[in-house]
Amino acid sequence: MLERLQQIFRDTFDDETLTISPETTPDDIDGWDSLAHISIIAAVQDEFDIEFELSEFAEITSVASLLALIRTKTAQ
Amino acid sequence: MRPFSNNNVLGGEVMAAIPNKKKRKRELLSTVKNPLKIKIAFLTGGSPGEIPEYLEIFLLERGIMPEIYIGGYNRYYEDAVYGINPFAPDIIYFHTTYHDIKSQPEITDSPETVTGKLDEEFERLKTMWGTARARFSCAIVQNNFGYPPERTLGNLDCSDYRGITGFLSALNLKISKYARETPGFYVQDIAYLSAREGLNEWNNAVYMHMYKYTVSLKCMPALAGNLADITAAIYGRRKKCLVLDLDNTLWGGIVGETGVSGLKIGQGDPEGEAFLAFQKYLLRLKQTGILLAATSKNEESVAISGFDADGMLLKRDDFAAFIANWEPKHENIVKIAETLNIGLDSIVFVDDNPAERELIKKLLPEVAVIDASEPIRFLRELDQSGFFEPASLSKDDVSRAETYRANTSRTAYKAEFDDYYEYLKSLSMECFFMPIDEGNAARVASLINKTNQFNMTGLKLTEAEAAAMSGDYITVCARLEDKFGDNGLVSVFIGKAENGACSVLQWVMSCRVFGRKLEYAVFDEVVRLCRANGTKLIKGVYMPTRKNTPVASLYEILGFRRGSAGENGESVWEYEIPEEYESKNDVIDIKHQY
Repeated sequence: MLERLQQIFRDTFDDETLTISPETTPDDIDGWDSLAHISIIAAVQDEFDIEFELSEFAEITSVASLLALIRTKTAQ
Repeated sequence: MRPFSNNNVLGGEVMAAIPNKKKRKRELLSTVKNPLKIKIAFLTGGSPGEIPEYLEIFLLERGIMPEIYIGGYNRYYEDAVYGINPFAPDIIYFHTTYHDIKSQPEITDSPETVTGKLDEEFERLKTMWGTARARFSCAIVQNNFGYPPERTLGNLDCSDYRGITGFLSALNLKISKYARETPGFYVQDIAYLSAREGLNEWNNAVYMHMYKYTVSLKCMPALAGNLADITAAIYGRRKKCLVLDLDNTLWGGIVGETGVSGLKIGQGDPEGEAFLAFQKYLLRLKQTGILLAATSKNEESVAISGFDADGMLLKRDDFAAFIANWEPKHENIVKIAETLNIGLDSIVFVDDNPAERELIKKLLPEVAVIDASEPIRFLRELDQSGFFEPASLSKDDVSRAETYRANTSRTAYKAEFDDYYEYLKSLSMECFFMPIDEGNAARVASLINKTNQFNMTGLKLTEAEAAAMSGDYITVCARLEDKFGDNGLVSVFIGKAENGACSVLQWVMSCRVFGRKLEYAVFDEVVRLCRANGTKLIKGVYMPTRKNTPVASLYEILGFRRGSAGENGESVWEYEIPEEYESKNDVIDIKHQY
């Protein structure tokens, strides 16, 4: 799951060498602004075939929170 | 679906996102030569989201490099009236939605109040456009209003004076009228675009409330792509010419095989009606100033005869250039460009055959290719490609086709064999040979009996007769596969061996695989079989008919010596198999199933 997420990040930031870990936050990646943030969320919904609720959007603040949400929603 | 590159339109319903836009932009920046540089101010009532990024990519694909100024959030009015300096845009794009309309009809309003609100909103817009024009002398692109997805009045929303959809329709009509009266003002028809994509797809409530995205992420490429089309049109980059194949592209069927009466066009036949709908669209397109041209693998007279078919709408005269021959199509398209005096990058190509489309994509990358195989799909893909978006329609545009009724004077043009060879290799063709047997006798008889063009002797066979050919007969059946799939049984050769010679009784090949040099591969196999049983001489007969002119010189090309003419007009040929026989086929991978 982390690998698929990592590829999304690589595509968004156009950097095939980018690596992420569960600890990664927006402060760690140059260019992770609101536009990139929205783009990542959309790509995640496409990639994992899930849909976030309005309330869940606000929870997404880091790679860790993304992974947690993906886990919950793919298990459903 | 929307083109991602100038020459590659993909099929589909909703345009897919580009996952790595930065990379795509980098690629384009390194390949686009001498782009036209323009400045675009993008002023919106909501969040621009990814629209500017997509716009940049789609414009680069059309050879235009934009510098984009993104206006402050919901400051489009202020920016237009007293902001943006010193950017000095060439084009201002206003992106607004019904959310930006200050006062909308209330259920408690009187008719006069609603009319007042409509006028007030339109005046506000006119002031904005007029002031921007006066300040920057730039082109203005304004979108009209798409419907909101929900209606409190249901269907009454369009007819009751308090309905929102009716209000927006009235406002859109005012905007259209303003566009007719104002040069340099262009409407982006979002009422159409959002309907085409579907309101359910276009609007995303979650993104609207979270991020103020007026359009769903999914539909942003469509919006940006359409905006790029308008911009390209404003700068005179509307494509000029549509080059079409004939058989199974303009009409149903292969005129060289079935004759004129076998063609499907109109006449209440479902397939025929689909082709007719395509022709209607093409005729109208021609009337807007687009040149139609044709390139077809046919004898010229046969190709022209197709236009006599019942139900045919387009005529030979509708085509400004017309080439029917057996040469590779990329050479013909170059000739067409020369004849019409236009650049290859002004041409759009439509052909039902994926191999032909691949040929043009590879050898003429500046030509835009519509990737679709059926008329129902051609129509939609062509329409949504945006290549023929006009900025305006002048009297010159409407009469252009007449000015171009040119003769197809053939300037001598040497074939680029190296490129064509590479193209054939790239098809990854594999040919499977097997003899005629009971298992394939039915297909063999069918192919022999229905093939008219590549048909050497005119001999017809029943399934039983085909199955009986063994022993003294040298038979070769060829099945051809390529990167697009399995073409099935495409050629049959039957020879009778006696007294050290093989007499060709019949040799047919499906016109679907002409131009692939398959005849060389089949001949190599015939020679191989002959040598295996000690046959040193091959005798061929060519029986001319109205339809098999394409193979009149086949034996000559293969190296046969011509003998005396026969009593019925047939020509007689002989081939002595040399000790050191060199294979003639160099592009097809041969497999045997003996």
